Amino acid sequence: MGEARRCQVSTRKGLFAVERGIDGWRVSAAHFLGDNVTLSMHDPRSGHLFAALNHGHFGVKLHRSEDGGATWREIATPAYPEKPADYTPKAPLEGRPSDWSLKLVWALAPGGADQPGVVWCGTLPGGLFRSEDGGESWALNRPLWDDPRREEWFGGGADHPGIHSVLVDPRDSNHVTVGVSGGGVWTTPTAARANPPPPAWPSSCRPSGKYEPNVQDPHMVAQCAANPDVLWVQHHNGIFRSVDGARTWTEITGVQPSTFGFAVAAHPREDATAWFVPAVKDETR
Amino acid sequence: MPTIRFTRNIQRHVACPTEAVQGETLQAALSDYFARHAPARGYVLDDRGRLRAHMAAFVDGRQIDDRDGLSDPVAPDAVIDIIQSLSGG
Repeated sequence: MGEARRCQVSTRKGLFAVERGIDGWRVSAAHFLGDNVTLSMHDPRSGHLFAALNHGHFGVKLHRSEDGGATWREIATPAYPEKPADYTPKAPLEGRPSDWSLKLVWALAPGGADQPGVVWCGTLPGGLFRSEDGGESWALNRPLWDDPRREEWFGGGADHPGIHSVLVDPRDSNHVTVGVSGGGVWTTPTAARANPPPPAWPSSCRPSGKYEPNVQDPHMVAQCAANPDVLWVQHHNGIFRSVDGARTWTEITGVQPSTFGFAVAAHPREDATAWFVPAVKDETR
Repeated sequence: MPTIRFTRNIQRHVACPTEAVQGETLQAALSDYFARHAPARGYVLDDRGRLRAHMAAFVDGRQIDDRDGLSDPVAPDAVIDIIQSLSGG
């Protein structure tokens, strides 16, 4: 697949392959026509395509194509473990106990080059899942899920907190950075390490928790491939950049026309360059 | 034996033909059916084994009471209908 010439566009009405030709871009293929494709991912190691669908009544599904989209096969969907019968949540999600059940697939990311078959998946409500077999099975990252601070997360624009960004450090495939709306940015020095420490976070989206790193609302996190210590965040309250692997963040102010938005893409080589999509904040909706 | 049948809409996504099943509760009847049609399970039940939020199940035309445990009794000649709820405008 020519990566620079083709992109996959996920829409509520299907997944569309858009290719660049001599005369410009054109839609070259449509998959799952009429269905809500919430996310898709191209795995650069295998060339496989992944598509996450939300069928509403019938739930969330994952499909994989091994032939560039010509054919698709449904694969396993992440499933939450059984909640222990004696489980008492530390801080019930906005007054109600969190439901240990998949609501949405919100992030898909390939594992490192040295971990073929590994795929990461971020979900609502706040689950980080890992597959070692290309999505045939999934396991919940228990250190993150069982951390009591996880229960302080809240839903930002959704009924549940969600993991929307999973960034695998190209220097160390077990070093993963996770963005949570609204639960801040978490880093795991190794995939198996318990109690991953949240970084210091300078901004706020809740006055009562202004400097609490665990209740922030990053909308998306992006990482520079050439310099993975550089990360960018489009936060609910502004734009931030880290140059030390998410330990500290510097707010970038004065951005016109707006520092509010949702999307961010980091330049793969130039660590001082990132793209944002400015939007109007919620106070004028 | 009870019979289980599905609306046409779900069959756009996954095969679930009408079939006779064994079981004296809805849970048992569905388990018997999904043992032969495993891909259909996740379209009807969530990862907790509960009836999905916007799915509905009827036994002989009566909507079930136990959406989480699926303990509703099923008579030997019962007809079980699995359909998606209709909502919106």
